[in-house]
Amino acid sequence: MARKVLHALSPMRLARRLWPPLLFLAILVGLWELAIEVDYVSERILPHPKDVAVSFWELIRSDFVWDDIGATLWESVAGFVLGAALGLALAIPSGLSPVMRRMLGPYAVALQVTPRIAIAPLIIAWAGFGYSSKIWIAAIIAFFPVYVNTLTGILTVDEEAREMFRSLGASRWQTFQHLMVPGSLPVMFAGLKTAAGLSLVGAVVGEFISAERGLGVLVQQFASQLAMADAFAVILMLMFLGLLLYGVMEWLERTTVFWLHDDRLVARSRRRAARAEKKLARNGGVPPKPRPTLVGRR
Amino acid sequence: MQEDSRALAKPGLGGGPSAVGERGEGTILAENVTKEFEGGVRALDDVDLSARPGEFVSIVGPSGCGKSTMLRLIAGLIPLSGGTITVNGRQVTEPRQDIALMFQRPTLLPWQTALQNVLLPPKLGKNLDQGAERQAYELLDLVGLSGFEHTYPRHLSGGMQQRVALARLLMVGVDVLLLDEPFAAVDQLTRERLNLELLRVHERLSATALLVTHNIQEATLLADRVIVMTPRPGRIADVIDVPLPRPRAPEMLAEPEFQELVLRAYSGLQIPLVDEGDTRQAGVNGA
Repeated sequence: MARKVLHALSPMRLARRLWPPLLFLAILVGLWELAIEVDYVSERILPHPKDVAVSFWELIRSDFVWDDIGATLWESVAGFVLGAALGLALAIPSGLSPVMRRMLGPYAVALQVTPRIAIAPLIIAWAGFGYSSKIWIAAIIAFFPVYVNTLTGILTVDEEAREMFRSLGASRWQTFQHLMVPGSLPVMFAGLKTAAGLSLVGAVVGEFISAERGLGVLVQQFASQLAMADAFAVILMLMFLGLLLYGVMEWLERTTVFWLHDDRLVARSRRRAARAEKKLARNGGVPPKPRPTLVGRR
Repeated sequence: MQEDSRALAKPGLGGGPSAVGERGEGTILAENVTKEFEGGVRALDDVDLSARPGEFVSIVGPSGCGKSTMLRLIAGLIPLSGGTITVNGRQVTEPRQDIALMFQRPTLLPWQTALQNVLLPPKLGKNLDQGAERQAYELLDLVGLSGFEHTYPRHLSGGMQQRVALARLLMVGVDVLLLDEPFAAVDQLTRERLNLELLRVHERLSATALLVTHNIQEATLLADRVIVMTPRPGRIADVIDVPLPRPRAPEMLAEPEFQELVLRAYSGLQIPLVDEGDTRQAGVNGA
């Protein structure tokens, strides 16, 4: 494992992988700088990239910004968990029962086509200016992709596999536990990943409308003061927050839905083989006595 | 009287299979089976079919002749529209533990190793113990997969996946194996090899096998009896006894006796140039 990581981090490999995105970044920053140099845009509207970097550095060394980062992170994570829990809680019964599906389906779609940001002021009126209102806004936005993807995952579980479970006499609970849940995980995770990104959107939108803390509040303040370099720096922070959420989800996906990732599969195969070997050795090298079997009955 | 004398004669054949025969394990008896799907499509029309314990029966026919439907009915997966199906002397009304169905695709669980997949039947039956595990190892060895017990399906070839499915099927410990074009998804060469392995496995077990296929050579080479079906609605056109000796070998494909059986099956299917009267007669012969 460690050797593999080292291998992936060797300078040559890193260089080969990293030059295309870095080149693009250089072009982008160059064009940006050029646009200001030739006075295509005013420096007051679009700050120098260098100034953004300086603002970013100064902000993260200040005391107050970490409170804002913490607020936004807490709102989006809690909103994501709440939205995902609601999505799962409604998608699972909908996936298993056609009646539930017909009962809930139309309203899930209605909620989806309504611009949910429009509900945000109402939620603030109900839940106040504190964290809870932003958590609810994030949850409502994160809900839908989890609901739809989990439902799709359950409904697209292989029909032949279901027939096989039935022919083996599996109970409903066994089919759910051993077939439906793992079978719908890959599609479900696609929804969870989308939801993680959307929950951050929900939190920031809530902060725009009314809040005391949060990166959304900061962006609004800096922009209204025309402190553009600072505003850009806060947007960079939001990007890093988004990357963090995405990275966590990506990691969760790779560990949970391991069977879609070759490296994980190989490692698990090895581990299982080693464990079986150990078990055999524990039994003194003698395999346990076979149950009377069909094999060789004739 | 005749029945009695046969039962008496059987122990002379030596041990295992006769004991199975006396208990009637693996008998399939289908009478006047009719299946109509929603929308009035008649998939099967008054079909009679039977199999003796340990017998290998093939059902051939073009797509849409209801052969897969027949298997699903015997497996108890879909309800009958008319007639009765009895397996082991008990009427089939729902999926049962003594009847196992093998599908066209391996339908392995991708999140489980070959061994775990084979252990699925005892796990669902709540009798997963060391004996079951040992048996799973043995069966994987029997289908030629020792060394691949802890490999995940994603890293197994199509043919190997189908072998895992076969091992899982045998794990059920059933009297009746229902095989629905079990090797349709693999290439021709692998398929021929798997067929012979299936035969070898069948010869070692006492289970009755019912194989559905649209390949006449395959059906004839494997079976004791070939049932030829015609579509719309599904009916039995001919039943052909295959008197070739066992164990069967691929070389038998070249024998004139084999060719004759295959030609007779073709005429039952009404595919090549056959006059009407001939096939009618075959139809009366049926079942």
